[in-house]
Amino acid sequence: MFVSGWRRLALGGVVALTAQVNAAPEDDLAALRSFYEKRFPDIALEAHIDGAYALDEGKREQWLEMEDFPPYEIAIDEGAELFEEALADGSSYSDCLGDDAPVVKQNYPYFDETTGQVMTLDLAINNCRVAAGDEAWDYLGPEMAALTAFIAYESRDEEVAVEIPDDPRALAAYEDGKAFYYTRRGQLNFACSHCHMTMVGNKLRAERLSATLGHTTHWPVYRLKWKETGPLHRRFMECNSQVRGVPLEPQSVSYRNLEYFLSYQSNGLVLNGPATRK
Amino acid sequence: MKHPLALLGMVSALTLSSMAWAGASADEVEDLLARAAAAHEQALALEHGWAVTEPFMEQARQALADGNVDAAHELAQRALLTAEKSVAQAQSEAEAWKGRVLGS
Ligand code: HEC
Repeated sequence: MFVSGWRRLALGGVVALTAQVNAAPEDDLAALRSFYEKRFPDIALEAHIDGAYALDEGKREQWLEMEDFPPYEIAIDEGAELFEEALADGSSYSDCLGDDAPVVKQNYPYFDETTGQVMTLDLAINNCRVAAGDEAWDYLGPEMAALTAFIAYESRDEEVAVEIPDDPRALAAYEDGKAFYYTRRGQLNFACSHCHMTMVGNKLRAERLSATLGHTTHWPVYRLKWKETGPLHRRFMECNSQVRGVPLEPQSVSYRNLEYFLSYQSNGLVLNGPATRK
Repeated sequence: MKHPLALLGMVSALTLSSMAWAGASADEVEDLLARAAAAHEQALALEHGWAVTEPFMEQARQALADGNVDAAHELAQRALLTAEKSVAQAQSEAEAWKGRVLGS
Protein backbone atom coordinates (compact mmCIF):
# COMPACT_ATOMS: atom_id res chain seq x y z
CA MET A 1 0.00 0.00 0.00
CA PHE A 2 2.59 2.52 1.09
CA VAL A 3 5.45 1.27 -0.99
CA SER A 4 4.08 -1.20 -3.42
CA GLY A 5 6.38 0.28 -6.04
CA TRP A 6 9.76 -0.27 -4.52
CA ARG A 7 10.18 -3.89 -5.43
CA ARG A 8 9.59 -3.03 -9.01
CA LEU A 9 12.49 -0.59 -9.10
CA ALA A 10 14.29 -0.89 -12.37
CA LEU A 11 17.54 -1.88 -10.72
CA GLY A 12 17.33 -5.49 -11.72
CA GLY A 13 19.44 -8.06 -9.95
CA VAL A 14 20.78 -5.95 -7.13
CA VAL A 15 17.42 -5.12 -5.66
CA ALA A 16 16.10 -8.61 -6.29
CA LEU A 17 19.00 -10.00 -4.31
CA THR A 18 18.46 -7.58 -1.42
CA ALA A 19 14.78 -8.40 -1.39
CA GLN A 20 15.59 -12.05 -0.85
CA VAL A 21 17.62 -11.34 2.26
CA ASN A 22 15.48 -8.48 3.50
CA ALA A 23 11.71 -8.60 3.45
CA ALA A 24 9.78 -5.64 2.10
CA PRO A 25 8.71 -3.07 4.72
CA GLU A 26 5.07 -4.12 4.47
CA ASP A 27 6.09 -7.73 5.14
CA ASP A 28 8.05 -6.61 8.21
CA LEU A 29 5.01 -4.76 9.45
CA ALA A 30 2.73 -7.76 8.95
CA ALA A 31 5.21 -10.14 10.60
CA LEU A 32 5.67 -7.85 13.60
CA ARG A 33 1.94 -7.49 14.13
CA SER A 34 1.26 -11.18 13.91
CA PHE A 35 4.12 -11.82 16.34
CA TYR A 36 2.57 -9.58 19.02
CA GLU A 37 -0.91 -10.86 18.29
CA LYS A 38 0.24 -14.40 18.95
CA ARG A 39 2.26 -13.40 22.00
CA PHE A 40 -0.58 -11.33 23.50
CA PRO A 41 -3.84 -12.75 22.15
CA ASP A 42 -5.86 -10.74 24.68
CA ILE A 43 -4.27 -7.38 23.95
CA ALA A 44 -5.44 -5.28 21.02
CA LEU A 45 -2.57 -4.13 18.81
CA GLU A 46 -3.62 -0.50 19.29
CA ALA A 47 -3.15 -0.86 23.04
CA HIS A 48 0.64 -1.08 22.64
CA ILE A 49 0.87 2.69 22.23
CA ASP A 50 0.84 2.71 26.05
CA GLY A 51 3.97 0.58 26.15
CA ALA A 52 4.53 -1.50 29.27
CA TYR A 53 1.23 -0.22 30.71
CA ALA A 54 -0.63 -2.20 28.07
CA LEU A 55 0.90 -5.38 29.48
CA ASP A 56 0.73 -4.85 33.22
CA GLU A 57 -2.60 -4.23 34.94
CA GLY A 58 -1.07 -3.11 38.23
CA LYS A 59 1.33 -0.65 36.68
CA ARG A 60 -1.41 0.63 34.41
CA GLU A 61 -3.53 1.69 37.39
CA GLN A 62 -0.67 3.70 38.88
CA TRP A 63 0.08 5.18 35.52
CA LEU A 64 -3.51 6.28 34.87
CA GLU A 65 -3.49 8.05 38.23
CA MET A 66 -0.31 9.82 37.24
CA GLU A 67 -1.88 10.87 33.94
CA ASP A 68 -4.65 12.67 35.86
CA PHE A 69 -2.18 15.47 36.56
CA PRO A 70 0.33 14.85 33.82
CA PRO A 71 3.80 16.15 34.65
CA TYR A 72 4.46 16.96 30.98
CA GLU A 73 1.83 19.71 31.06
CA ILE A 74 4.46 22.31 31.94
CA ALA A 75 6.42 21.34 28.83
CA ILE A 76 3.29 21.69 26.68
CA ASP A 77 2.62 25.18 28.05
CA GLU A 78 6.19 26.27 27.53
CA GLY A 79 6.11 24.78 24.06
CA ALA A 80 2.96 26.74 23.20
CA GLU A 81 4.78 29.95 24.11
CA LEU A 82 7.87 29.00 22.13
CA PHE A 83 5.70 28.20 19.15
CA GLU A 84 4.28 31.74 19.16
CA GLU A 85 7.67 33.42 19.46
CA ALA A 86 9.00 34.88 16.21
CA LEU A 87 12.28 33.53 14.90
CA ALA A 88 15.28 35.82 14.40
CA ASP A 89 14.25 36.86 10.88
CA GLY A 90 10.66 37.55 11.95
CA SER A 91 9.26 34.34 10.49
CA SER A 92 7.29 31.78 12.48
CA TYR A 93 7.46 28.04 13.00
CA SER A 94 4.24 27.79 10.99
CA ASP A 95 5.95 29.48 8.05
CA CYS A 96 8.63 26.83 8.24
CA LEU A 97 6.76 23.69 9.29
CA GLY A 98 3.73 24.26 7.08
CA ASP A 99 0.18 25.59 7.31
CA ASP A 100 -1.00 22.70 9.46
CA ALA A 101 1.51 23.47 12.20
CA PRO A 102 1.36 22.75 15.07
CA VAL A 103 -0.55 19.65 13.91
CA VAL A 104 2.41 18.17 12.02
CA LYS A 105 3.79 15.32 14.11
CA GLN A 106 2.05 12.82 11.84
CA ASN A 107 4.23 14.00 8.92
CA TYR A 108 7.44 12.79 10.60
CA PRO A 109 9.73 11.03 10.16
CA TYR A 110 9.87 11.19 6.40
CA PHE A 111 12.51 10.58 3.78
CA ASP A 112 13.86 13.89 2.50
CA GLU A 113 14.81 13.47 -1.13
CA THR A 114 16.94 16.62 -1.20
CA THR A 115 19.28 15.59 1.60
CA GLY A 116 18.85 11.87 0.96
CA GLN A 117 18.28 11.44 4.70
CA VAL A 118 15.52 10.80 7.17
CA MET A 119 13.93 13.98 8.48
CA THR A 120 12.61 13.91 12.01
CA LEU A 121 10.50 16.57 13.70
CA ASP A 122 13.37 17.56 16.00
CA LEU A 123 15.77 17.97 13.12
CA ALA A 124 13.18 19.93 11.12
CA ILE A 125 12.71 22.31 14.05
CA ASN A 126 16.42 22.97 14.30
CA ASN A 127 16.65 23.42 10.54
CA CYS A 128 13.90 26.05 10.78
CA ARG A 129 15.80 27.81 13.53
CA VAL A 130 19.12 27.82 11.75
CA ALA A 131 17.57 28.92 8.44
CA ALA A 132 15.97 31.86 10.26
CA GLY A 133 19.28 32.88 11.83
CA ASP A 134 18.66 31.37 15.26
CA GLU A 135 20.88 28.94 17.09
CA ALA A 136 20.07 25.26 16.96
CA TRP A 137 18.72 23.87 20.22
CA ASP A 138 20.31 21.06 22.17
CA TYR A 139 18.42 17.91 21.16
CA LEU A 140 18.30 16.83 24.78
CA GLY A 141 17.50 20.27 26.16
CA PRO A 142 14.33 21.76 27.63
CA GLU A 143 13.36 23.99 24.67
CA MET A 144 13.31 21.14 22.17
CA ALA A 145 11.38 19.00 24.67
CA ALA A 146 8.85 21.79 25.20
CA LEU A 147 8.21 22.62 21.55
CA THR A 148 7.95 18.97 20.52
CA ALA A 149 5.64 18.32 23.51
CA PHE A 150 3.32 21.08 22.33
CA ILE A 151 3.37 19.82 18.73
CA ALA A 152 2.80 16.24 19.89
CA TYR A 153 -0.12 17.35 22.03
CA GLU A 154 -1.73 19.27 19.19
CA SER A 155 -1.18 16.28 16.89
CA ARG A 156 -2.86 13.76 19.19
CA ASP A 157 -5.14 11.26 17.49
CA GLU A 158 -3.56 11.80 14.09
CA GLU A 159 -2.49 8.54 12.49
CA VAL A 160 1.06 7.37 11.97
CA ALA A 161 1.52 7.07 8.21
CA VAL A 162 5.21 6.75 7.44
CA GLU A 163 5.96 6.27 3.77
CA ILE A 164 8.96 4.70 2.13
CA PRO A 165 9.02 6.52 -1.20
CA ASP A 166 10.05 4.89 -4.41
CA ASP A 167 13.70 5.83 -3.95
CA PRO A 168 16.44 3.28 -3.26
CA ARG A 169 18.01 5.65 -0.71
CA ALA A 170 14.79 5.65 1.30
CA LEU A 171 14.69 1.89 1.36
CA ALA A 172 18.36 1.83 2.31
CA ALA A 173 17.63 4.15 5.27
CA TYR A 174 14.80 1.86 6.35
CA GLU A 175 16.99 -1.23 6.02
CA ASP A 176 19.73 0.46 8.01
CA GLY A 177 17.27 1.15 10.83
CA LYS A 178 16.10 -2.43 10.65
CA ALA A 179 19.69 -3.69 10.88
CA PHE A 180 20.25 -1.49 13.91
CA TYR A 181 17.16 -2.93 15.56
CA TYR A 182 18.26 -6.54 15.11
CA THR A 183 21.97 -6.02 15.80
CA ARG A 184 23.57 -7.11 19.07
CA ARG A 185 25.37 -4.30 20.84
CA GLY A 186 27.29 -3.61 24.00
CA GLN A 187 29.14 -5.86 26.38
CA LEU A 188 25.87 -7.58 27.29
CA ASN A 189 25.46 -8.47 23.63
CA PHE A 190 21.75 -7.72 23.19
CA ALA A 191 19.81 -6.45 20.19
CA CYS A 192 16.68 -4.30 20.60
CA SER A 193 14.77 -7.32 19.35
CA HIS A 194 15.99 -9.50 22.22
CA CYS A 195 14.37 -7.31 24.84
CA HIS A 196 11.36 -5.90 23.00
CA MET A 197 10.43 -9.04 21.03
CA THR A 198 12.01 -12.23 22.36
CA MET A 199 11.56 -11.20 26.01
CA VAL A 200 8.61 -8.84 25.55
CA GLY A 201 6.20 -8.88 28.48
CA ASN A 202 8.81 -10.33 30.83
CA LYS A 203 10.26 -8.37 33.67
CA LEU A 204 13.76 -6.97 33.54
CA ARG A 205 14.54 -6.01 37.11
CA ALA A 206 11.45 -3.99 38.09
CA GLU A 207 10.44 -3.13 34.54
CA ARG A 208 8.02 -4.85 32.19
CA LEU A 209 9.43 -5.03 28.67
CA SER A 210 7.19 -3.27 26.16
CA ALA A 211 6.46 -4.15 22.53
CA THR A 212 8.20 -2.40 19.66
CA LEU A 213 4.82 -1.73 18.16
CA GLY A 214 3.80 1.72 19.42
CA HIS A 215 7.32 2.63 20.52
CA THR A 216 7.33 5.91 18.61
CA THR A 217 3.77 7.21 19.05
CA HIS A 218 3.99 9.00 22.38
CA TRP A 219 7.11 11.18 22.41
CA PRO A 220 8.40 13.27 24.01
CA VAL A 221 7.96 11.54 27.37
CA TYR A 222 8.08 12.82 30.90
CA ARG A 223 10.05 10.19 32.78
CA LEU A 224 10.05 10.05 36.54
CA LYS A 225 13.62 8.85 36.32
CA TRP A 226 14.69 11.87 34.25
CA LYS A 227 12.47 14.25 36.24
CA GLU A 228 11.83 16.02 32.94
CA THR A 229 10.41 15.60 29.48
CA GLY A 230 12.79 14.11 26.93
CA PRO A 231 12.93 12.76 23.38
CA LEU A 232 12.84 9.30 21.83
CA HIS A 233 16.53 9.42 21.02
CA ARG A 234 17.35 9.84 24.69
CA ARG A 235 15.53 6.55 25.26
CA PHE A 236 17.59 4.97 22.44
CA MET A 237 20.71 6.20 24.21
CA GLU A 238 19.53 4.70 27.46
CA CYS A 239 18.68 1.35 25.89
CA ASN A 240 22.14 1.29 24.27
CA SER A 241 23.77 2.17 27.60
CA GLN A 242 21.74 -0.47 29.40
CA VAL A 243 23.56 -3.19 27.49
CA ARG A 244 26.84 -1.38 28.24
CA GLY A 245 27.26 0.01 24.78
CA VAL A 246 28.44 3.53 24.00
CA PRO A 247 25.31 5.44 22.96
CA LEU A 248 25.22 7.41 19.72
CA GLU A 249 24.50 11.11 19.37
CA PRO A 250 20.83 12.12 19.38
CA GLN A 251 19.67 12.75 15.81
CA SER A 252 22.65 10.87 14.39
CA VAL A 253 21.98 9.27 11.03
CA SER A 254 21.68 5.80 12.58
CA TYR A 255 19.20 6.88 15.26
CA ARG A 256 17.11 8.69 12.66
CA ASN A 257 17.11 5.58 10.47
CA LEU A 258 16.11 3.54 13.51
CA GLU A 259 13.26 5.97 14.17
CA TYR A 260 12.21 5.62 10.53
CA PHE A 261 12.10 1.83 10.77
CA LEU A 262 10.31 1.82 14.12
CA SER A 263 7.77 4.47 13.13
CA TYR A 264 6.89 2.56 9.99
CA GLN A 265 6.02 -0.45 12.17
CA SER A 266 3.52 1.76 14.00
CA ASN A 267 1.70 2.83 10.84
CA GLY A 268 -2.03 3.11 11.40
CA LEU A 269 -1.71 3.65 15.15
CA VAL A 270 -2.70 6.99 16.64
CA LEU A 271 -0.30 9.55 18.06
CA ASN A 272 -0.65 9.87 21.83
CA GLY A 273 2.17 12.10 22.94
CA PRO A 274 3.38 13.44 25.15
CA ALA A 275 3.17 10.66 27.70
CA THR A 276 4.38 9.73 31.15
CA ARG A 277 6.70 6.81 31.88
CA LYS A 278 8.53 5.59 34.92
CA MET B 1 75.48 -32.10 24.60
CA LYS B 2 72.51 -30.99 22.55
CA HIS B 3 69.97 -31.74 25.19
CA PRO B 4 71.25 -29.66 28.13
CA LEU B 5 71.73 -26.67 25.85
CA ALA B 6 68.15 -26.84 24.67
CA LEU B 7 67.07 -27.09 28.27
CA LEU B 8 69.10 -24.02 29.11
CA GLY B 9 67.37 -22.19 26.30
CA MET B 10 64.00 -23.17 27.61
CA VAL B 11 64.84 -22.07 31.11
CA SER B 12 65.96 -18.65 29.98
CA ALA B 13 62.86 -18.27 27.83
CA LEU B 14 60.78 -19.13 30.86
CA THR B 15 62.70 -16.69 33.00
CA LEU B 16 62.16 -13.96 30.47
CA SER B 17 58.46 -14.53 30.22
CA SER B 18 58.03 -14.81 33.98
CA MET B 19 59.93 -11.55 34.32
CA ALA B 20 57.49 -9.98 31.94
CA TRP B 21 54.72 -11.30 34.14
CA ALA B 22 56.18 -10.21 37.44
CA GLY B 23 57.22 -6.79 36.36
CA ALA B 24 55.57 -5.18 33.35
CA SER B 25 57.24 -2.11 32.04
CA ALA B 26 55.57 1.22 31.59
CA ASP B 27 56.40 1.00 27.90
CA GLU B 28 54.44 -2.22 27.60
CA VAL B 29 51.47 -0.59 29.28
CA GLU B 30 51.66 2.36 26.93
CA ASP B 31 51.79 -0.01 24.01
CA LEU B 32 48.74 -1.94 25.20
CA LEU B 33 46.88 1.32 25.80
CA ALA B 34 47.69 2.59 22.32
CA ARG B 35 46.38 -0.65 20.81
CA ALA B 36 43.27 -0.54 23.01
CA ALA B 37 42.60 3.07 22.02
CA ALA B 38 42.97 2.25 18.32
CA ALA B 39 40.61 -0.75 18.57
CA HIS B 40 38.13 1.30 20.59
CA GLU B 41 38.20 4.05 17.95
CA GLN B 42 37.47 1.45 15.33
CA ALA B 43 34.54 0.08 17.38
CA LEU B 44 33.15 3.59 17.86
CA ALA B 45 33.37 4.27 14.15
CA LEU B 46 31.35 1.09 13.61
CA GLU B 47 28.87 2.27 16.30
CA HIS B 48 29.74 -0.72 18.45
CA GLY B 49 31.77 0.84 21.25
CA TRP B 50 31.50 -0.79 24.66
CA ALA B 51 31.05 1.46 27.64
CA VAL B 52 33.61 -0.43 29.75
CA THR B 53 36.59 0.13 27.45
CA GLU B 54 37.11 3.82 28.19
CA PRO B 55 36.99 3.38 32.01
CA PHE B 56 39.51 0.52 31.82
CA MET B 57 41.89 2.74 29.83
CA GLU B 58 41.30 5.59 32.28
CA GLN B 59 42.03 3.36 35.28
CA ALA B 60 45.14 1.95 33.61
CA ARG B 61 46.48 5.46 33.01
CA GLN B 62 45.73 6.37 36.61
CA ALA B 63 47.50 3.26 37.93
CA LEU B 64 50.47 4.06 35.72
CA ALA B 65 50.56 7.61 37.02
CA ASP B 66 50.48 6.22 40.58
CA GLY B 67 53.49 4.05 39.74
CA ASN B 68 51.43 0.86 40.02
CA VAL B 69 52.72 -0.66 36.79
CA ASP B 70 51.45 -4.22 37.35
CA ALA B 71 47.92 -3.08 38.03
CA ALA B 72 48.15 -0.73 35.03
CA HIS B 73 49.30 -3.63 32.88
CA GLU B 74 46.34 -5.78 33.84
CA LEU B 75 43.85 -2.96 33.29
CA ALA B 76 45.37 -2.10 29.92
CA GLN B 77 45.08 -5.73 28.91
CA ARG B 78 41.42 -5.73 29.88
CA ALA B 79 40.87 -2.54 27.91
CA LEU B 80 42.47 -4.11 24.86
CA LEU B 81 40.41 -7.29 25.25
CA THR B 82 37.07 -5.46 25.50
CA ALA B 83 38.00 -3.16 22.63
CA GLU B 84 38.90 -6.13 20.44
CA LYS B 85 35.73 -7.95 21.42
CA SER B 86 33.63 -4.91 20.54
CA VAL B 87 35.21 -4.76 17.09
CA ALA B 88 34.65 -8.50 16.65
CA GLN B 89 31.00 -8.01 17.61
CA ALA B 90 30.60 -5.34 14.93
CA GLN B 91 32.17 -7.65 12.37
CA SER B 92 30.14 -10.75 13.16
CA GLU B 93 26.91 -8.75 13.54
CA ALA B 94 27.29 -7.28 10.06
CA GLU B 95 25.71 -10.53 8.85
CA ALA B 96 24.35 -12.20 11.98
CA TRP B 97 21.46 -9.73 12.51
CA LYS B 98 19.78 -11.02 9.37
CA GLY B 99 19.11 -14.35 11.02
CA ARG B 100 17.02 -12.61 13.68
CA VAL B 101 14.62 -10.82 11.36
CA LEU B 102 11.04 -11.92 11.96
CA GLY B 103 9.83 -14.22 9.25
CA SER B 104 13.32 -14.79 7.84
C1 HEC C 1 18.42 -5.19 27.90
C2 HEC C 1 17.09 -5.00 27.42
C3 HEC C 1 16.83 -3.86 26.45
C4 HEC C 1 17.38 -3.69 25.21
C5 HEC C 1 18.46 -4.53 24.55
C6 HEC C 1 16.72 -2.56 24.64
N1 HEC C 1 15.80 -2.05 25.50
FE1 HEC C 1 14.47 -0.61 25.13
N2 HEC C 1 13.75 -0.73 27.00
C7 HEC C 1 14.19 -1.62 27.94
C8 HEC C 1 13.49 -1.38 29.19
C9 HEC C 1 13.68 -2.15 30.48
C10 HEC C 1 12.61 -0.33 28.94
C11 HEC C 1 11.61 0.30 29.92
C12 HEC C 1 10.37 -0.59 29.98
C13 HEC C 1 9.66 -0.62 28.67
O1 HEC C 1 8.95 0.34 28.34
O2 HEC C 1 9.86 -1.58 27.88
C14 HEC C 1 12.79 0.04 27.55
C15 HEC C 1 12.07 1.05 26.91
C16 HEC C 1 12.20 1.36 25.59
C17 HEC C 1 11.41 2.37 24.92
C18 HEC C 1 10.34 3.23 25.55
C19 HEC C 1 9.01 2.55 25.54
C20 HEC C 1 7.89 3.44 25.97
O3 HEC C 1 6.76 2.94 26.07
O4 HEC C 1 8.09 4.62 26.18
C21 HEC C 1 11.84 2.40 23.62
C22 HEC C 1 11.32 3.31 22.54
C23 HEC C 1 12.89 1.43 23.49
N3 HEC C 1 13.08 0.81 24.70
C24 HEC C 1 13.57 1.18 22.33
C25 HEC C 1 14.67 0.33 22.26
C26 HEC C 1 15.50 0.22 21.09
C27 HEC C 1 15.28 0.94 19.79
C28 HEC C 1 16.49 -0.67 21.40
C29 HEC C 1 17.67 -1.07 20.57
C30 HEC C 1 18.56 0.02 20.22
C31 HEC C 1 16.23 -1.13 22.74
N4 HEC C 1 15.13 -0.49 23.23
C32 HEC C 1 17.00 -2.08 23.39
C33 HEC C 1 15.11 -2.61 27.77
C34 HEC C 1 15.85 -2.81 26.63
